[in-house]
Amino acid sequence: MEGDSGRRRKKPPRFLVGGAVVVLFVLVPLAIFWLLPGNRLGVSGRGVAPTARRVSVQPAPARVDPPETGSSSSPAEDQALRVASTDGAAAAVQPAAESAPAFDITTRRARPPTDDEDRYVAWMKAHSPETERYVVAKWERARAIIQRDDATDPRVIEAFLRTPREYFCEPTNAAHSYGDAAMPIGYGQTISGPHLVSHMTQALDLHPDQKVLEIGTGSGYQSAVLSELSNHVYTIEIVRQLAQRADSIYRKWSKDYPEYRNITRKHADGYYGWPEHAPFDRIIVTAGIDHIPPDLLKQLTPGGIMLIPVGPPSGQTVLKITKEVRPDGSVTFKREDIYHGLKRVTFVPFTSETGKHTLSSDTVPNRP
Amino acid sequence: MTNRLPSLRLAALFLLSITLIAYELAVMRTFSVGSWSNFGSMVISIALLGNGLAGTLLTFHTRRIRENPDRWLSISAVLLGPAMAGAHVLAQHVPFNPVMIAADWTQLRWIGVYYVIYGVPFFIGAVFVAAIFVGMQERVHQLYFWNMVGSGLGGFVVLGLMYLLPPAQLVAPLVVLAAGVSLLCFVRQDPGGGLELPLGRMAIAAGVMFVSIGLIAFHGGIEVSDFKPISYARHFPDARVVYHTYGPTGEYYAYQSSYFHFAPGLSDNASLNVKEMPRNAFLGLYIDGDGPIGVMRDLKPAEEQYIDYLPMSAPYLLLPKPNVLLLRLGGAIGVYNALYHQARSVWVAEPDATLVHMLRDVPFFRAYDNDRLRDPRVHVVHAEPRAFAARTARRFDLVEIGLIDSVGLSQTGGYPLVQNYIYTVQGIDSYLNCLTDDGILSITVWNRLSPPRNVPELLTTVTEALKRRGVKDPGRHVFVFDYLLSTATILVKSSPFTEADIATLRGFLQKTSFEASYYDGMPAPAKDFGAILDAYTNQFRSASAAVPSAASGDAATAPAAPVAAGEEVPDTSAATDTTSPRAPQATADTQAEKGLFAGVHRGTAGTTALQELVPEDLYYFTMKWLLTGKAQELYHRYFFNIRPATDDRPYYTGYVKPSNLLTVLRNMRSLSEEWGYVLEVGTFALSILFGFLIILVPLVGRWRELFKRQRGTVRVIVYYGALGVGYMLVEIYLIQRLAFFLADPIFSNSVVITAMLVISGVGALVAGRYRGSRTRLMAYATAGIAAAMLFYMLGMPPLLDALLGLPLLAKMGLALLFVAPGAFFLGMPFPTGLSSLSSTRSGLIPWAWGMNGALSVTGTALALLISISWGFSVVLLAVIGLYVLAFLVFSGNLVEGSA
Repeated sequence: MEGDSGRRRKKPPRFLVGGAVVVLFVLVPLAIFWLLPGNRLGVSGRGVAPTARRVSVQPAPARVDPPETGSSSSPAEDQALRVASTDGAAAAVQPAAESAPAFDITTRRARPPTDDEDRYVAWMKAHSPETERYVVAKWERARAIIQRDDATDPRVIEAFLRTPREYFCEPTNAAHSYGDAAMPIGYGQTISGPHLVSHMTQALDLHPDQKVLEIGTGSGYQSAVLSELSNHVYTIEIVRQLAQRADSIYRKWSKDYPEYRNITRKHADGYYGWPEHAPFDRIIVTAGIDHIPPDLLKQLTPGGIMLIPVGPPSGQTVLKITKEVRPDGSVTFKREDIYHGLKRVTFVPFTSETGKHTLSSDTVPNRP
Repeated sequence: MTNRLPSLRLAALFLLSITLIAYELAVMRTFSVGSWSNFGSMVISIALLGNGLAGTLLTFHTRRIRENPDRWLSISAVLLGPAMAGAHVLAQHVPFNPVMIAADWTQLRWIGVYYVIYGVPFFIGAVFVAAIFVGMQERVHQLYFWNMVGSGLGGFVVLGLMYLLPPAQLVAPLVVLAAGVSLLCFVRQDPGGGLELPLGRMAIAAGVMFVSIGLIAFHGGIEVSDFKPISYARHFPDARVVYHTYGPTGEYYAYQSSYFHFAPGLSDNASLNVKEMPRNAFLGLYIDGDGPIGVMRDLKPAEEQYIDYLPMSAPYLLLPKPNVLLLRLGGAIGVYNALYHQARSVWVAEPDATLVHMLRDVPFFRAYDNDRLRDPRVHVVHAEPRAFAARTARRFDLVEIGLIDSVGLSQTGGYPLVQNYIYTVQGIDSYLNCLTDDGILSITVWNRLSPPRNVPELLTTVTEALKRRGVKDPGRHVFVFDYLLSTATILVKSSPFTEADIATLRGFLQKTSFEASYYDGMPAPAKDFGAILDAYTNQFRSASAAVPSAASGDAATAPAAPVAAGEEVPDTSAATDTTSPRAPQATADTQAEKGLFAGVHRGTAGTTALQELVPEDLYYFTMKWLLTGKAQELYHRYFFNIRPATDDRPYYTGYVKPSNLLTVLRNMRSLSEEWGYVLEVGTFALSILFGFLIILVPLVGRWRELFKRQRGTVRVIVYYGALGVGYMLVEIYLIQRLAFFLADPIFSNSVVITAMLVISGVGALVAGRYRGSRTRLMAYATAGIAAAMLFYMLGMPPLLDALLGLPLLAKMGLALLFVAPGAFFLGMPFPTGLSSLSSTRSGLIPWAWGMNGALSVTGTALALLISISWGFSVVLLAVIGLYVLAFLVFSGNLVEGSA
C-alpha cells in the first residue's frame, strides 16, 4: 500500500502540526466535555455533597409526613372535575346516601339490535352521532369478542355496542379503535384492548343500581362502558392530564350519551379508594400493583366483587375477588383468575371493624 | 514507502476497532435507557449485518480497492464520526412504539428504519475493515491481530466512559476517536520518505468532528419511551427526583412520591386486621427506567403491623432472633423485615455496587431510612450472592431469597431469557451449606403464571439439590405455600420440619389465608394428576382450545338473546333483574343463529379438569412425583420444561420444549410470557435468512465465475460459516458461564469479550509466523480447540465452584486464564483461511469476512437456544463438531491448491 505522492511544496513545521493535533483533537474536545452539563468530567459534576460525589441529590426531609391531601391539584382544576379531590384516608366506611342518577339507564327503551348487522348500523345511525365505518367495525369486534368467549352476556355486548371507543382513543389512532389491541393514549398509559375490557366488564357482573368504583380512569373508555350498565360510576385517575382529558370527553358527548353524566370522577391516588362514597358493590382496578390495597377491600360491600391486576411491575394477572360476610360475621374472600379458571376460596378469621377475633370451626383454610 | 506508513494504518485499524465496538455498546445502552434492553441483540445484529453487507458489496470492488486503498480508508474514516453522531440523533426521533405493534403491524417498519439508521455507521466501519484487509492482504495476520485487540479494548473503553458520561453523551468521545482514525489515514508519505499530515485534511477532520460533537451536544438527548415505568412515575403529581446517578450498571433515578405503595404478596386479610398501612413511606428507584424498587422509610409501630401479613414473615416464626443472610438488597425492605423480626444479625450480598453505595452512604437515603444499613446488626457486602455463599465461613439461621425477580424483568409482559445462577441445583446447594443445623432457606417468588412454570421448576431444582446432598427423605425438609396469582414460598430446612414447626406454619397460613401446597404428611388432593397433566397438553394442542372463562361463570355457557331491529324493549335485564344477567335469553336460540351470537359454541374438552386444578395441587403432586421416583414421567408429561436448573443449564425461565415450539407459537395469546424464547427463535431464523442473503448476493451475475471457473466456493461458504457460528458459540458460552463467577454480567462481558478477541489476535499472530504447512497448522488448531472445549466441559466447572470465593480481581485473572486456551486456538483458523484465499482468490476476502460476521448472529442465537434446551455441554460439543468440519473442508483444500 502506497501513500499519496505529494506535490513538492514547503511542509509546515512538525511541531506546529503536532501542536495543532493536540489542541484540536485532545484539548478542545476535553474542554467541550468539561463544559457539557450532566457528566462527571466538568463543572457540573463537582461540588456535590462529599459522600455523594458526582451525583445530584435533593436535601433529605427532616421527617416524612403523610400528605395533607391525596392530590395536589388546584381548586379550579378540581372544580373542572366536578368533585373536590380528597384525601384517600382509610376512614371508617359509611354507606353514603346516593342521590338519584343524572340519567336513569333503566328508563331507556330503545336497544341496539343484535340480530342483524345492517339493522344495527341503521339503528346506530338513528340513535348516535357515530360514523358508519366505526359502527361496522364495532359490530365485527363484538362478534369476535363473543366468539372468543371474552363476553357473552348480552348486557355487556350491548354496552360495548353503545360505546364509541373511537372517541376515547388518540385521534391519530382512531382508525385502529376496534382492532384487537391496547393503544397508547399518552403519559405512558394505554386504552385496553376491547377483548380485555369486555372480559373484565363481564367478570364484574354489574347491575344498574350497583355502585362501581374504577381505579385508573385512563382514557375514560372503561367507565363509559360501565355507565351503560350502572347508574353509579365513580372513577379515579392519578395522572391529572388524563383525568382532564377523560373529563372533557364525557362533557363533550354527554348530550348524545347522557349516561356519562352518571360518571363521577376525581384526580387522586386510587390506592385509598373513595371513602366518601364507599362502600362499593363493584371495584375495578385497571392499574397493576404488587398487592391488593387493603382500603379497597374495606370499601367493598358484602357480596361485592373486585377485579384487580396483581403482580410484579413486569406484568400482572387479573384477579377477581368476591367478598362475603356470613351471618356469624366471618368474612370470606374468593380469589379467581378471570382467564384460566383457577379458583380459591379463602377464609378470614377476623370479622368486624373492632378487630375482635372470632375464630370458628369454619374459618380454617379449605385444605387441612 | 517506508515501513512506518503500514504501521500507521494498523494503528488506524486498531483505533477504528475500538470505536466500533464501543459504539455498539453505547447504542445498546441508549436503547436500554430510552426503550428496552431487548433491543441489545438487535444492535449486535445490525453491526454484524453491516459487516456482512459491506463485505459482500466490496467483493465486487476488490480491484478498485487495490488500486487506491488509501482513498477508501480516508473516506470511510472521515464519514464514520458524523455517521455515528447522526445515527444517534436521528434514532431518537424514530416514532417507534412497541405498544402499537399489536394494533398496527406497520409499526414494524420503524425497526427497519433503525436498521437503516444504525446500519450506516456500522457499514462505513466495515468498509474500512474490508478495504484494509484487501489493501494490506500480505499482512492479514497482523490486521486480524490489531482488529481483535482493538475490538477487545473497545469494551473496556466504553466501560470507562460509562463511569464518566451519562448515556446520552457516550457517543461524543467516540466521534473524537473516529477523527483520530481519519488523521492516521490522512498521513501520507512525502517523496523524501518522511510522513506528512496535510493541514487542509487535518482541518477537514477537525471540522467534521466538531460538527458531530455539536450535533450530540445539542440534539443527542435520549428520548425515553412513554411506556417505560419511569415515565409513569414522572406523571405523579408530587413526584420529584431525589437522586440521580449513572454508571456501567445503569442509570439510576430515585423518585419520592406519596403514590408509591409496596407490599408484595400481602395477604387480603390485612385489610381487616391492619389498622394503618404505611403512607407516603416509599421512594421508587428506577434503573434504566425500569422498576420501581421500593425503598421504605422508618415506619411507626402501627404501620409495621402489615409486615406480619407478608409471606416473607413465615420463616421468622420458627427462628427466634435469627442470623439472617439476604441474597440481594433490593430497596432494603428485606432488611427492615429481618430487623422487625428481631434478627440478631442481617448480612446482605448485593452485586450492584451503585445500589449499595446509594442506600448505605448517600446522605439522603441515610436520613430517609434512618441509617438502616448502618445499624450495627446489618452488614451489606458487595458480592455476587453465590460467591458470598461460597466463601463465607459464617452459618446463618435463615437464608432468604425474597422476590428478587420482581424487578429488572422486561416490561413487555414476559421474562428475559438470561442465565440465572441463583436458582440452580448448585446454587441451592451452596445456600444450604451456609445454614446452621436447624437453619432455613426461604425462597419467595411470584406465582402468577398459568399454567404454573417457575414454581414447579423451583421445586424440581430444590428437590434435586437435596437429593444430591444425600438427604434421606427430602420431602420432610420442604414446606411450600402459595397465594393464588400472588406469591409462592418454598421453605427448605437443614433438618426435617418437626410437627411443631408444621403446626406453627399452618397457624401462619390460617392467619393469612395463604394456601399450604406441600409439607410432609399433608393429605393428598383427591385428583388424578396424570389426567390433569394431559389436560394441560391437550388444551394447547387442540386447535379449538379456548381457555375456559371461569370469570364469566355460568354466563359463558348461557345462550344469548339478540334484539331485533328497532325493537322497543324495556331494559328488563337492567331494571328488574339485578341478580341474573342471564334471564331473558333462555328461549332465543333460533334468533341467536342469525346475529352476533350466531354459531357461538363454547366449552371444550378438558375444561372441567383444568378448572379443578389449582396451583397447590400441581405443586403437591410435583413434589409427590419427585419423591416417588416419577420425576422423569413428570418432566415428560408436563407441557413445559421443568427439569431442574443446573449450572450447565442455568435457565430458570427456559420453559419451552423445542418439541412444543409450534404449539407455543399457535397459542401465543395465552402464553405471551414466552415471548423471550420466541424472540430468540425469530432472531435465529432471521439471521439464517440474512446469512443466506449475504452468501447469495455475490452469486447473482457471478455464478459462472464463482462456481464454474474456480472451484471451491462451496468450501469457502462452509468454512467461514462454521467459523462464524462456532466462534460465537464459544464466546456466548464463556460469557454466560463466567457471569456468576465474576459477580456481574458487566464484568463477564468485558473480560470475556476482551480476552477472547485479544488472545484470538495473538493466536492469529502466532499462526501467521508459523512456517510449516497450513493444513498441519489447522490440525493443531482444531486439536487445541477440541481440547479446550473438553476442558470447559469437564475441567472448568469444578474449578469455578472451588474458586468462587476468591476476590474479584483474582477471579478476573483466573477468567483470563480460562478463556486463554480456547481463544488462542480459535484465533488461528480465520486468518489462516484468509491467507489461503489471498494467495489464490483474494477477491473473496471481503465476502468471507462478511459471511463470518453475518453467521456470527446465527451463532449468538443458536448458543442461547441450545443452552436453554440441552445445556452448555451440548454447545461445546457442537463447537468441536463445527471446527472439525472446518478442518475437513480446509484439509480438502479450502481453495484448490491453497493448502
